[in-house]
Amino acid sequence: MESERGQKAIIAQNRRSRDSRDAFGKTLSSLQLMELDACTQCGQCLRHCPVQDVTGNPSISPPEKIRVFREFIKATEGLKARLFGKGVDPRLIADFSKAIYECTTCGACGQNCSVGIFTQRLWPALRREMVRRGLGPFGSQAEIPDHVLKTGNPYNKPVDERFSPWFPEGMKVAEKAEIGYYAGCTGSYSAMPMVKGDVTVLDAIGDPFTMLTAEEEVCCGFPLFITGQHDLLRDLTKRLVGAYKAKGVKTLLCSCPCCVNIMSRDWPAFYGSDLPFRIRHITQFVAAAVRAGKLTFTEGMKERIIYHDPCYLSRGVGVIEEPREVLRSIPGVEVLEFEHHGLESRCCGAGGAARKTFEENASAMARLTIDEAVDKKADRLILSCPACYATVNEAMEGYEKQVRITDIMELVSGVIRRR
Amino acid sequence: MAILLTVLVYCVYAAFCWRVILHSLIWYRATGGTRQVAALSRLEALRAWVETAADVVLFRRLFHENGLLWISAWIFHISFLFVVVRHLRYFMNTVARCIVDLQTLGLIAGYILPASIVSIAFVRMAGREKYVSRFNYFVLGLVFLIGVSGIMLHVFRVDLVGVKEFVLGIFTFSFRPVPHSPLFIVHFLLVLILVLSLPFHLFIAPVIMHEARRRESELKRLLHGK
Repeated sequence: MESERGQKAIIAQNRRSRDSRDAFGKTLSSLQLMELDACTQCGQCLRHCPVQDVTGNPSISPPEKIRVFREFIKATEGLKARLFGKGVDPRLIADFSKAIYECTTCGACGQNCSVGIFTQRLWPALRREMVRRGLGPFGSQAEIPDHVLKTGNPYNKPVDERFSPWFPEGMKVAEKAEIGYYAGCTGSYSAMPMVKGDVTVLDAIGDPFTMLTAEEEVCCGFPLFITGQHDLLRDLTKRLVGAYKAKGVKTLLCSCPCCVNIMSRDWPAFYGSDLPFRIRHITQFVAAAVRAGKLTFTEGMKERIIYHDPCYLSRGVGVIEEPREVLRSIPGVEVLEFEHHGLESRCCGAGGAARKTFEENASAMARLTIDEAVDKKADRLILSCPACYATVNEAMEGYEKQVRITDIMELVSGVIRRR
Repeated sequence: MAILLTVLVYCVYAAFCWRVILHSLIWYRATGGTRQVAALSRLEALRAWVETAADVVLFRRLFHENGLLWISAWIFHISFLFVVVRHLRYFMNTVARCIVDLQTLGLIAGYILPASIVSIAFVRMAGREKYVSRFNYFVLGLVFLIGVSGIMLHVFRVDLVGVKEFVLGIFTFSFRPVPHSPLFIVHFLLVLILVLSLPFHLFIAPVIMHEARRRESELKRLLHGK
């Protein structure tokens, strides 16, 4: 890794406030700029926006963000802008910046866009532009790069507590293996039952798997990417890919949808070529193990469970069927569905790194998820994302409606036959 | 008056061309990278093209979202197309047979056009989560006025030969007088304003629709391919 001082200098330089006449959209790709022009402003996406559900504020709606950003480009590009342009009112840019960071980047708007704009990647690109202009990120998000540099995780938690509080005693991890497991920061520090469930199930399957040490396993880069802070991404990616390659990994497993998303979609770009291993979500590996008879269940459970699709797993990378396959394979379990599920799943409020900066919104969205689970008389709400897990748990505190929350691997690990 | 309108036409078309060039330059100068994360097979690529064609012609994505808005928007765009085709007779010395054959359809479309705009406006404003920007109001209002003034020109009979000579004159640089019809001048000026403010999605949405279809195929392979 480059020297800490050098990295900090890059971050500080990129955070410097820019001239309001500085052209907008420099950090976007050609396709993303075309997407801005392609928006028909039909407004149909508003019906699918979870932030609209809880705020009702059209100024943070997808078409309005696109319209305003187009105005910014118009005001700073071309001859007219150069000769007579006064730039953009900084207050307007600041309002826009807030709107772009209030979004959960769940991508439901793009999924239902009448043109097909890929908003799950467009919004982070606009955030990157805000960071370039010194107007992003928001609140504690600005500390993420420093925390990652110091501790390898965005929460500034001690490195030696990454695995030790939850990793089962006596469980063996291979020095080198074709299967690699990446626990991730949110799982390791905020959703420990989830990552504990992951390794317990992997151990029960019996195929040797390897892990990096707590010092080696650093942030995958997703919190930096999603908040528009790209400076460290190449370095983190190269460091992690190199480490797994050295351990002979051919398949890298992870249970965090955000990590899986950036690994499969963006790591190749940051790494500079195709990855030397394939990325899989843990439910894909477990579903295959159940099919192959490598994983058997000791007992059934007579429960009605409802599964919530994480946005970055369903819309993001298309893993929809495997979690359901795993859940249905547990004897006695009845799997219920949310009204919006699969590609149409509704964000629980955890997305876009907005859960800590716009807590009220996140809590209100999570409570809508809880409400539906309770209304459908589910015994448990099954999640498969550490950010969803943490957010829904927080929203449950002091709320009149209660439902038992369990991570999918936490559930599976409780009913399997162990070796 | 003829010279003024002619100069105005040249200025408007120059501005339109500059707008296209500027947008193309902005796209070209973009520095952010876009990487295709999974290569498509030939069959998948072909399917993406076929689906895109259906999306562009039938507005399928909008159909899935809002049936009422879809039917209004589809009728609006088809009517607009027929009206434009009908107007091609003013730009040709010898009018092609197919254009002649489509004149009646174009006339009917001219009457449907304002009605479809009213329908779009109604659906857009009646929705639970309505979103209509000022630019939306402006363009819808502008096309409505163009449609209505066009119908009035048909009802009150303008000098068609004079109109054709004037329009052809602009494009052949042999300037002719403007027909003596204030209604025609209003209609003509409104069209020039529309050319200046044409929404850019008309040109670029098909590209993004194709990208969306390609991405859908890619999603199936992203974590499920070898």
